[in-house]
Amino acid sequence: MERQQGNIAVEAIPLYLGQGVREKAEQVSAQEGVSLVEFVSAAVTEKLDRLEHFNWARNRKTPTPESIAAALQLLRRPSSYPPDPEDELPEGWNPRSS
Amino acid sequence: MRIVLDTTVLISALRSEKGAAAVVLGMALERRFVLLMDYRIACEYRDVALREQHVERSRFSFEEILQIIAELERIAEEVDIEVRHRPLSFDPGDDLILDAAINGLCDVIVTSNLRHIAGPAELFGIEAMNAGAFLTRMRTGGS
Repeated sequence: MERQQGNIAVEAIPLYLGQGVREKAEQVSAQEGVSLVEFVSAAVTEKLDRLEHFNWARNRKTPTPESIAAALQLLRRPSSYPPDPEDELPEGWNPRSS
Repeated sequence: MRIVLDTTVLISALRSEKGAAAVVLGMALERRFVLLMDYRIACEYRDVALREQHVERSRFSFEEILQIIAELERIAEEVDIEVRHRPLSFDPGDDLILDAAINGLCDVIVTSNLRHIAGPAELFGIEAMNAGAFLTRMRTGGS
């Protein structure tokens, strides 16, 4: 059955845990002050995040002097846009010192 | 020095090349410090920077923003998030910045959102400062 939890639709699923795993999970979730359901949900989210991070890290491209120079040139391209409020350079900042 | 750049700094750097944030981003690309990042931060950068209102307010096209973020991803040191301390901040977007900082043994979080990030960061011995203050630190010998 699907229901809303904040802005997120959540769905209940049957979940079978080995007795030892369940007891340990109940113990740790109680120590953390969350329900077993919240604990399991957070554990699944963290596992997915780790897998996605691993794939991202493995597939990242290596920077080259050319790719870095191109990005710097783009970043430093002159424009007429003023800085955001509170993004001013320090007083007396010399562009050459950057 | 090991640095995490909050998304607010990226957004300001995309807005103008005349501000402190753009200078800090340039230093990151020049690898004047170690930029720390994980997959969730890379997603957050794209998610926020490519929102219509931010693209409109920036000086770049959609594709140019992607190019800059892709280069930041290339030069960054990846951080494996082994431990997530909760609760940390009021905003999940801030939590992922703090997670990377804590797990990546970060020295400084550069952010425009000191109100939400400075307190939790301090608990872990991490300084939080805006881009201008960070440049002052670098100028006075931080490395």
